[in-house]
Amino acid sequence: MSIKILDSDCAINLLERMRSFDCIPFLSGYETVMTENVLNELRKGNSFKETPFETYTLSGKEKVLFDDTTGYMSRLGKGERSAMIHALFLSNKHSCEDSDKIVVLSNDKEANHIFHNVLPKDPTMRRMFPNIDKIIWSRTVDVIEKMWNAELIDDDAADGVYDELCVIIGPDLRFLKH
Amino acid sequence: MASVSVDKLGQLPLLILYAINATDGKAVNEVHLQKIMFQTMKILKADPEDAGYRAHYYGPYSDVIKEEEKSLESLGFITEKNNRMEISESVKDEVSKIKPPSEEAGFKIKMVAEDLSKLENDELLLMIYSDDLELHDGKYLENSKVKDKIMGNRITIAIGMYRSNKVSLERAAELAGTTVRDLEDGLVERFGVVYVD
Repeated sequence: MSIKILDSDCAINLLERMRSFDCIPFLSGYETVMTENVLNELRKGNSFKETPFETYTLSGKEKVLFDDTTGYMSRLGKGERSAMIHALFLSNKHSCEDSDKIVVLSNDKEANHIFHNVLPKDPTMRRMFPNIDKIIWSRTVDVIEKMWNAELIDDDAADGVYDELCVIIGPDLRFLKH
Repeated sequence: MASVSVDKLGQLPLLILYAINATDGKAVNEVHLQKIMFQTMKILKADPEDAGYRAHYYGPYSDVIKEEEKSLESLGFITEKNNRMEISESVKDEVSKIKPPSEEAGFKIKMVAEDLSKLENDELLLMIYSDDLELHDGKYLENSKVKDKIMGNRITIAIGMYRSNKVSLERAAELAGTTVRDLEDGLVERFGVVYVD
């Protein structure tokens, strides 16, 4: 099984902060892919320069679709659109039957709403990417909640990260405060 | 009732009606319509200049679109009230049957019409100006009299767009001309938090 996490909006920063509290034991088991747009954003004033991300430049075909989305997906940023498009092209390389997973990670509620509710209705995307339903569009808060439910985060770690992450994610993280 | 039937209209007026109708009943003003049609030209891979677009007071503007809009109003398809236009009640059914150039183009035009019609004028102008500077080197902004005012206030406008769920945080950072990290810091400074409910 291969798992690719595509970071759409520097959401990996958040998971990295969690890792610094030793509560993301599995992160190194994932292949984390970042498009150049996201990486450029991440390079600006962040402290995770040494993290071994795989960086990815959109292919010619991906770039054409990326440019096309510029005209009508006005609510999303470049990093979000580039990660979305790379994930869609990856979905064409993975059969529906196997257990490979493609995860697009985002902090942002609005971006996640578009990935979940608007993108699947886009006739262009449905025509080009018949496996679109295979992509997991996940908010960091969802990942953290799954980790909490799987008891990968202990109470001390939860207390340690709650205040900091709550500023970014908001009350959705309330489950950490027990 | 309109004085001619929809099937007698040309392609451009049909597109204008389709776009206004795609806003889901939200009345649009002149600036909205001009910018929605500007984006529609790009979706259709047409050069906006072919539809008469040029640099104007508020950025890209087309006299051709303005003339078509007036014509549609005089024919009874559009009703204008308080500087906002909407599809006339008597032709709503007829207009809702207008077919877009293709299903794919129709989806994109609808998305643009829905998203842009929700924006306040300064938000709309920031989006158009910011994108034009990036994509066309500001070609359509050279005659704009409000560009400096809008761009000078871009951070506040972009934060407002993010906080009213009109754009993602990353898109807001692009519109603000800053980084996600700096915008996050700015949000914490102003509101104590980054997230919006």
